[in-house]
Amino acid sequence: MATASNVAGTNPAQAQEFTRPVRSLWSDAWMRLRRNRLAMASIIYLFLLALVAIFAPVIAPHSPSRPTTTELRERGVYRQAAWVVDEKNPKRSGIWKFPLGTDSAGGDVLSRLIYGTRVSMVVGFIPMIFTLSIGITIGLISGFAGGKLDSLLMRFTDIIFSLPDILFFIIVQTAFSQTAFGKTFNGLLLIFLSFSAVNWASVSRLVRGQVLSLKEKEFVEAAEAVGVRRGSILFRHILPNTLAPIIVAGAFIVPSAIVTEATLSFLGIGIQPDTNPNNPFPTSWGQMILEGKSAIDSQPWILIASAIAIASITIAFVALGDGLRDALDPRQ
Amino acid sequence: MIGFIIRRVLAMIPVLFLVALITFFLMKQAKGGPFDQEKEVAPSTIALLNRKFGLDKPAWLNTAEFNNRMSADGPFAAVRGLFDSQFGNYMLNAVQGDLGPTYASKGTETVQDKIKQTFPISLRLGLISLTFALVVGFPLGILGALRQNTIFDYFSLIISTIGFSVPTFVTGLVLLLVMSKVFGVAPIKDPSVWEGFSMSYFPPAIILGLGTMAYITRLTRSSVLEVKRQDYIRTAKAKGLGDRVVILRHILRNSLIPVITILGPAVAGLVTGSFIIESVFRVPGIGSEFIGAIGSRDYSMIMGSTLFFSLLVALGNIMVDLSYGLIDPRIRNS
Repeated sequence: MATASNVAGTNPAQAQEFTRPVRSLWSDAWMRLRRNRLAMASIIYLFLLALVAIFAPVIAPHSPSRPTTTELRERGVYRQAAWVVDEKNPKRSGIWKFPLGTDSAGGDVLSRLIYGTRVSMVVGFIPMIFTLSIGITIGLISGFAGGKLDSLLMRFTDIIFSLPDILFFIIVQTAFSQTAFGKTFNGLLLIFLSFSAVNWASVSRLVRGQVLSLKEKEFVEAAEAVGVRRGSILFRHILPNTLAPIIVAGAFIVPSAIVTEATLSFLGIGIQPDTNPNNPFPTSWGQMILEGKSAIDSQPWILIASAIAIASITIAFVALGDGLRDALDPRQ
Repeated sequence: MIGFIIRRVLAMIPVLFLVALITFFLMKQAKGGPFDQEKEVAPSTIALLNRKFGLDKPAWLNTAEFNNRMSADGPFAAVRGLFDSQFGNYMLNAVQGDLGPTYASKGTETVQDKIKQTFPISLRLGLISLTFALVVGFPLGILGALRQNTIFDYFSLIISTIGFSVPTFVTGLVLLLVMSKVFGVAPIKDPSVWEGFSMSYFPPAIILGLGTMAYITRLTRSSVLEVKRQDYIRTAKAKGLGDRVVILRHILRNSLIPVITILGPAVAGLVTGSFIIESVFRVPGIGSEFIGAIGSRDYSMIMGSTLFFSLLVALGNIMVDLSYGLIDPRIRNS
């Protein structure tokens, strides 16, 4: 895949020629994806966000956590965004030292926003990996084994599938958030686990369906006829052919995990805020929205900035998912 | 058909039981009882309250009672004794429609009363937003697909991508912000406006319906695009049918089916989405009640509303499955 995409990437003129190197499904898909401007813009934007998340301590102009008392004099309580002048209360007017203003504890909104990128990135990708691993394993077993095991697993999947998920998350958070386990990584671990515990069901249904239809294909029959072992058939012939829909499903799991975390934090039961300056995940965008909601009149920029952040990251992931689906499924 | 309904209703039972089991188990893991907030309450009073609510009994199985009754009254009474536990009694009452007293009211109000009070408000909100989602989403998707790659299509794509990806509490708060800063509309404080249908329902209902609307638009668009390329459409055009007939009778009818399939999850989304929107717009519906119950650790209210929400979601799915048969004769006959 890498070499093929390099050929297509470094020398597009050659790809246009009549005789061209062999193109796999993947390089074909990559070509189609590159033509999708919205998807490419999303990739670039998400790549930049990933850099922001990694280098947050370097980029952020101030510490995201509570300031010292001397700093607080300058930061004030609810300083407006830099371009807003508060005539009634000059102490609240914006200054360019704090471009998006400060929150009720004197925290710099821009720095918090930058650190918040970390939570969204981590909370998007790690649950996706968990969810896909569980879903693929159960789907493969179910579809390949068939019979009693299949119907048992699918009955179980159906039950998980019909759980109202956000309700389940809320109850899990309420139950465990005060325990030591619930506090691991500011509560991130708990969110990862509860999200994956419910969302694998749709992946396993998808994978099972794929396996069932691939099992009947001629190339599998041919492999069986030549005497390839069952394990190799499953992993060398069936699994690679299910990858395209799995990738698309994975691309849509990321934004839904991000939204879940933001929603839970907005309800006050998600990530737990931390004032320790050494904590890598001191704040999340959902939390900032919750704060912005109560400061909607005094410091609207907390709400506006975090709303734009969440909206743009989810739109970018969904656009990327759409692009991947169109690229990997030529029938559309 | 009747056999199908009965089978589906029976299939709901294990799901609801599992939901109750999981919820009950999780609630037991939470630290602190429901009466912990009042620090001044004497231990004897807490013991009294616990006895009143049956919290002095074992959580799952009452083996002591089982052994007692086994020797005294025989195996039948003993089995009943075994389930004389918090979970057993809860389930027995719940089956009869009694979801128990709310802890917050110290037993003066039952959970089903609370649901009866607040659910009509959420139902109105949900109905308006579902109507909005259908009335806007469907035409937007059709228009996008019929005029593919025109300005209509891009408009419908942009609206649906935003509605599909941005969480409702973000759009809701942005709308609130715009309403108060730009139009000077004050947030609603008087709860009586929610008693009948009123204009106040529209802002929260539109935000709540935005996601569903976007989903319907996306699905309708891709479904119409697929049907448009079918051979029978070319046949219909070839035999000289007018555009109107081809679109209404051939394209729309056939592209409706996949859209109906998501109405089940859509109804579920509206039900579970309502409590976030209700708390943003301060609508006193069952969702606000649920969020409040979480804050005050009112376990019976959390249990009761979770079961109620799950029942709604399950019923929604059954209705959708029934509607397939009505719309698509191919499914009805298989």
